[in-house]
Amino acid sequence: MLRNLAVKEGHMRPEHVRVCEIFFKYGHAVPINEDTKAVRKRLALSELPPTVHMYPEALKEVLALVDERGFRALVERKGG
Amino acid sequence: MTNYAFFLGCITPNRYPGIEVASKKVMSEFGIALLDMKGASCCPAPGVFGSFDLETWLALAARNLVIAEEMGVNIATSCNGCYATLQEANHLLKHNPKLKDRVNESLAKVGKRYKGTIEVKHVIELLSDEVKFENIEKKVKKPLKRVKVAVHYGCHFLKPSETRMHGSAERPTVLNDLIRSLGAEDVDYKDRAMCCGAGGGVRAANLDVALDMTAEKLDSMIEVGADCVVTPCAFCHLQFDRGQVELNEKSGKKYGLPIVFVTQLAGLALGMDPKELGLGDNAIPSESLLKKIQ
Repeated sequence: MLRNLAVKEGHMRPEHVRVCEIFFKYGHAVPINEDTKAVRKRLALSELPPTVHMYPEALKEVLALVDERGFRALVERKGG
Repeated sequence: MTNYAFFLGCITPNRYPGIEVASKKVMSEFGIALLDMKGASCCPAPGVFGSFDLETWLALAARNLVIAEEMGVNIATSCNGCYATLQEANHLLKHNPKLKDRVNESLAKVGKRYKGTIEVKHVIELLSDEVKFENIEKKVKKPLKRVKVAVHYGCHFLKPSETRMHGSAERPTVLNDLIRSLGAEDVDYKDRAMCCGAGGGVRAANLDVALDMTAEKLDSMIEVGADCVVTPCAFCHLQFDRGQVELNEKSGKKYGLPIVFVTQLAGLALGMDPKELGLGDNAIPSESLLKKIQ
């Protein structure tokens, strides 16, 4: 894939690198915030969704895959 | 009751949980339970992650698919981006044994194995193929008469058309048929098949370009007298909703077209409380639409 090759050459938009960095932290590209936690509570949902947000061990799995694939190193080469 | 694993993704649970609630409530009315996928992550987003490294995107998507495989049920999702990632990943893995083997080598490191035993569906497909529109029509308590709806399908729901299989990608009808089964009028508008502006990493990287596209679509919808925009995609929903606020701040315009997710609109027609469907939680108020329905 041409775009994958371009990334290997270091061609990444900083904004897209930032999206990956957020994913490395939360396992979501758009993580929960306090406002949405309040809305979820009002709608009788769990404050945190039943995703990696609620299950830290699941986030560890996701990050293990990211590292196993060398993806973090690929992105951080540009981001750092 | 038919069970589905409800893949939430990011935007639905973390910005618009009303979509989550409405989808569960509406499906439940028709005997479909949307179950939690414990520990699911971002799909991950096709525009950024797939472009950066296809096999990492695939391995992370496969992990999400495996959660549903372990539950023994098919996936349903309320976001076109998640639908694109999970359906395409599932398709690639089912049709490419070497790719599947490489992905399973990665998944083995976290104790998982992709088998290829499930399908990925959009909530629209559940309504059209399982529930069927004629059965929805029978359950409508508040027909949405006088409501003019501008339908926005979103790119990933329709394309690539050979794997999505929703008929014509240029002149689709499934969502329009659903809108009519709820008693509302679907209004045609210029460049209906155009992107909302957000996808492909554009919103993150170039908000001005994204908003220009959003404004062009909104202007076309307003021109034909639409009372609201209905989307089947959480990300398009966000772009049209928050995008109007951003456009108003940027240009001094006064956009205020209510944005409604497809299951929220169905919920209204079924007589559900707008507040319980999360319609009070959009950036753009829904009051003008709700007054028409009363």
